Amino acid sequence: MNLPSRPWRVVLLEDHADTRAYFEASIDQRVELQLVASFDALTPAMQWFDSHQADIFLTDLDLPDGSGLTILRKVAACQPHCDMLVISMFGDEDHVVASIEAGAVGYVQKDASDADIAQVLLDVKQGASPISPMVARGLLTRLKSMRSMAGPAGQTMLPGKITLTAREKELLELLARGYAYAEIAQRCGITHHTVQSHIKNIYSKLAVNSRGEAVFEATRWGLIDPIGIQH
Amino acid sequence: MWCVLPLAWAADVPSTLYEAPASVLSMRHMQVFEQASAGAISKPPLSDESGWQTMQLPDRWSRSRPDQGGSVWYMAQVNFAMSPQTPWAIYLPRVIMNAEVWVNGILVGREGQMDTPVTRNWNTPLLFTTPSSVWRLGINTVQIRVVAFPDNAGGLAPPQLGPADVMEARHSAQRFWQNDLVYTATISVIALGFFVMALWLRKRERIEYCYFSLGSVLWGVSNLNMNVREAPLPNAQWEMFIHVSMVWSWLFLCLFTLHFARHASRWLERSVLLFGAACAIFLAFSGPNGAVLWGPYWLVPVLALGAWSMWKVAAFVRRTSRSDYKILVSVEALALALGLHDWLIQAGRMPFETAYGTPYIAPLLLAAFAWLIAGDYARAQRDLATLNLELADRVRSKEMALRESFSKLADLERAQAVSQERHRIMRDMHDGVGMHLSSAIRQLQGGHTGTDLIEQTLRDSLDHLKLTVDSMSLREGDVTGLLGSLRYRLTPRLQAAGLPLHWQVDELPHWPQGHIDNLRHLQYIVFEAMSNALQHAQASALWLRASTDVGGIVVCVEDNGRGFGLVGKKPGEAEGKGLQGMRSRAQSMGGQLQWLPREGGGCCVAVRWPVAEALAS
Repeated sequence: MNLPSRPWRVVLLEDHADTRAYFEASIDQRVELQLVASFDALTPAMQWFDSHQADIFLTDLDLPDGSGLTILRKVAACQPHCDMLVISMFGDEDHVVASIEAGAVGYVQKDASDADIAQVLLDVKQGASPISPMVARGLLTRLKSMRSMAGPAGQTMLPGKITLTAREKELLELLARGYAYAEIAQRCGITHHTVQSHIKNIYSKLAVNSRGEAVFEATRWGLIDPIGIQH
Repeated sequence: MWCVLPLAWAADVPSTLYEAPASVLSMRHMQVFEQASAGAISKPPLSDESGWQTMQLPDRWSRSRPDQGGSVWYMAQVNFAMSPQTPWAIYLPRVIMNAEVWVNGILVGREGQMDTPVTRNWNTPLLFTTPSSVWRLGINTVQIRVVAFPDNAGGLAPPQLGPADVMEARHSAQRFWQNDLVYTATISVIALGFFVMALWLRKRERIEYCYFSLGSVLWGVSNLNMNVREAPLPNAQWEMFIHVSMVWSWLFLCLFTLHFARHASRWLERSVLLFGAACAIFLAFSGPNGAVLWGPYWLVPVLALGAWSMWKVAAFVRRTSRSDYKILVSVEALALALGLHDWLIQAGRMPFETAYGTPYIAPLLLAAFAWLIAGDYARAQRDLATLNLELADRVRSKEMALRESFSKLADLERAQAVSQERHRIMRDMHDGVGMHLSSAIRQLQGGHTGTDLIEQTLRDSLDHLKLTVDSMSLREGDVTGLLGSLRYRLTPRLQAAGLPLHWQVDELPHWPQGHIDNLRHLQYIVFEAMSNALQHAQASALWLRASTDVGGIVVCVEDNGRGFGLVGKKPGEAEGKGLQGMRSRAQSMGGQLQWLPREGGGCCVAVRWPVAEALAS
């Protein structure tokens, strides 16, 4: 791997001191990564992003002063180049899908080894998107429910719906059945990197749709003025 | 002003010679000449012919000449001091059955048929207008011929003579009261009868409505006798029909009244109907004049029954507060009084000119009954509205009770589901996390176990915890999802052990019986099989195959290691607790667990279970 001209700027938000220290140590192991800020609460982290830029943002979801989803949405809106990951104990479907909808590109498990943690961050910057079979199945279920809400003439009741390509759908189904990236690449006759790109595309579609839904719901309830929305 | 000045011919015989009046002359005495045969004649008998007798009017034949019908002449003289300049008229207030009038030997008027069947003018006042030329200066002879049915008694009330306009006014007034009004009342009472009949047909349980309707219709039919001048039946049958109708109408009205007073009984009803039938049979066979002769006698018990009914209904109405009941009963009481009045007429106990009274009560009865029906309808509407409100309240309260019951049931079901879920998690915690944590504690306390082994034990514990968490989000019947998550959880350990896992999982059918307990059983079996392969098989590769099989789904965990030494042995034989647990769980999910030799060495642990949908496909 070629070294970047400068290390990736990493920001960490984790309220548990031991875990935070463990993650800080993991990041410090690799010269390609530079920990530029570390927080134990949501508010100072939100303020930091008002005046600073980052390449990777690693956050817990359950914070003492709010939900990590809030800052995920903010950073996704103002720093789209920043790859975000959530720290999860179990990598369970509900938390991960919600995070992806908020703009995250994956997650890191708390019990992962320090080397694995750093590698996941670097992989993400290389275009990878960690996904588990449970999350893949959750995404498929969500797509089905969106189709069932569509009108009879193909009109969607929501402002936008996720339209996956046949290849993306095939990948999701194989992931849900437990197949690894390499196995999928072999079965489909594509490269490992292509598989990762497809997954990232699916994530971004879901996040865009999620933002569209939020705007639609907010407009419907009169919370925002649709004329004032900048696309 | 009356200007009747009879001139006496003899001291003991009233004169039948009258001076012409200025206004109206009532001829209360006339000479009478009996003529046996009815029918048309060419001229009246001569005034000096023998046989004329003087008598006072009214002449009621049933008394003056019983059992005689036929024809009777009445004659009087009127002296005109001056010739009349305007038409004069002779007015007959009541004649039974029909009459014609001659003046000075000239026929001046005739109303209908004078021979059998005689026109029935018995209740119709007759007016004969004469031209002034008929009358001459001095004595004028007025002769009136009255005819009746051969077997019926006739009669004549005092004729009246006067200027035509005065007589016409009297005649019109009498026609209105005796004919026009009675006709209207008759039609209305028949209409009332049919209306109540319709009510009864819609509400058969109200038998009193049936009685009232029959009574009303028959009452109207009997009243037809007042206006029918050309009867559709021979006289004897017509009289019988009219009398029987009258008796039956009163009987039905009595039954209605008794029902109304809640005082009717089956035996009473039968007795009354039997009496009515006996009356009809008797009058039918009582001879040509039987109805006229015997009809009034049959009415006596009917009137007595009516009086008793009125007594009962009066007592009933006193106990109620309904004003419409009181009005109806008052009208019925009036009808009964008029019925007695009419009976006295029939029995000859009232003046000959007296008009019948019962026909006039019909409009009052109609109004009273309509008022009662309207009251009943209004009450029924109010009761219905009240009932609807009460019903709505009851339905609402029942709905609330039902909702509360459902809510309690749902709470119970939720509580039961929570309890079951808690029980399952507790069991998983005990068998998985708890067991491994306690092992780790013992390893630490012993002080002889290396940190690698302790870390492994703790990682096992965490894996179990993650599997427990995964099981909470598993969709029922989703075997593919279960296997995928299991692989995901075990991958780090397999990679750490350097053991490649070959994954061959087909898209599996939905498992209808795959509820959370069964999925957890399957998860445990596969996890244990892979853990065993990792720890004991000394294999260099691992396979997981899942596919549909005849009759269901089969999942195999294969390794190329040394095997467990269980291949070919009977279930339970030489099995440890872990293996027994796997077999027990396989049975719990309705499947079978097998240890099979793998071709090329190693072992295959296969769990196979039936899936209804797989069979169908």
